[in-house]
Amino acid sequence: MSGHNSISDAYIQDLITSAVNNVCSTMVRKEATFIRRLEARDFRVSAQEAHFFGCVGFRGQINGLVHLCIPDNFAQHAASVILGMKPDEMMMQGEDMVGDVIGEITNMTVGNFKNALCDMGYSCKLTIPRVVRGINPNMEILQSSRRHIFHFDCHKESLVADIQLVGG
Amino acid sequence: MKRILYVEDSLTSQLIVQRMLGGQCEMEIAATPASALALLKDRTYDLVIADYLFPGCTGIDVIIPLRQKWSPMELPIIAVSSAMDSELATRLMNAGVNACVAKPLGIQQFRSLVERMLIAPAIEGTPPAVYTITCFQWYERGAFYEYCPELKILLSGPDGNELTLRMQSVLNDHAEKGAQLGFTAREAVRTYRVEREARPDQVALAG
Repeated sequence: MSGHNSISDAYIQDLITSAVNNVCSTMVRKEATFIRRLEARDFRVSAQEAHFFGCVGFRGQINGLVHLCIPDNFAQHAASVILGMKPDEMMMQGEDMVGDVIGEITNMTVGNFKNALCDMGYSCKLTIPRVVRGINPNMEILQSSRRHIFHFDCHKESLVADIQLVGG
Repeated sequence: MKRILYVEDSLTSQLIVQRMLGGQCEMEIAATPASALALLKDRTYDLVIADYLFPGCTGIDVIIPLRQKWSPMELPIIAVSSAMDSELATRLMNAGVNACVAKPLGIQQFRSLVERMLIAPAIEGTPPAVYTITCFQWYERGAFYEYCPELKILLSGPDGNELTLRMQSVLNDHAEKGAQLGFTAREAVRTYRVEREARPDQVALAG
């Protein structure tokens, strides 16, 4: 007898799809569509373009880490929409400003995901967001975690959510 | 012009809210609860908007000292956070905020909330009471069944865990639509599994 239920893959997909869509539609004013699930071995970031990797974790009755992987072009576009700047004005702001926007997008997306877990009875708290930019940066991998990778399309721009869960 | 203090460490969120409310009011920003309290010693504001999560501290560090000095009607406080689950919202409401909002902030809803707070401060939303709804699940003739006696809902399906999540979702829908769930204002589902015959995996093991 338990108030907790194991979280199925389908439910994780529903939660992250809802979180990504909520953030994209509210912040970037574009709907995000789930494309497919990826196996870890199939998840490779293009070497042709740098990406921003936003990372936020959660700790408590369930632990996890979520990376959002966003290509440079989309990150620039999202930052200019969110901050109300023209693309060339955004370029002048530099990488740190775009990184700050990606950190906030990641924080909101993972926050939405985490809030749904909390409402299921898995109480947990968010960690402070971290953002790196690069071609193929090293991602932190949690030991004994289940990994779920989801590919989204946001008006022909790609966005990948890489979720690692321990427990649940 | 009304004066708002926004307590927020994220530059992006500062810029977003400035864009949303700019022109509507005069806004000052404090990047930490400590700097907000320093500003509040010398100046008066009509509204405080406070983020929750800061490195090494939380928005409660600014909310509690403010409530010792001003009531919710004298100085309204809106708490905003990406981490706004029902437990946090309850804690913030108990600490004395007037309203809690989850990020991302929808422009129209947030502007309208700020306007309401500036014109006639009120406490919006009471802390949700948490009750437990007991549901019963059993396996019979090749399928799982789950029954909620309070709502008289019976669901069935091939996967017991999935079924409980569906039941939780049905109860959430009912709560969001304002249905009176018996004695329940907000649901926390506890499922009791009642084994009436061997499950498929047990049958397989026996075979």
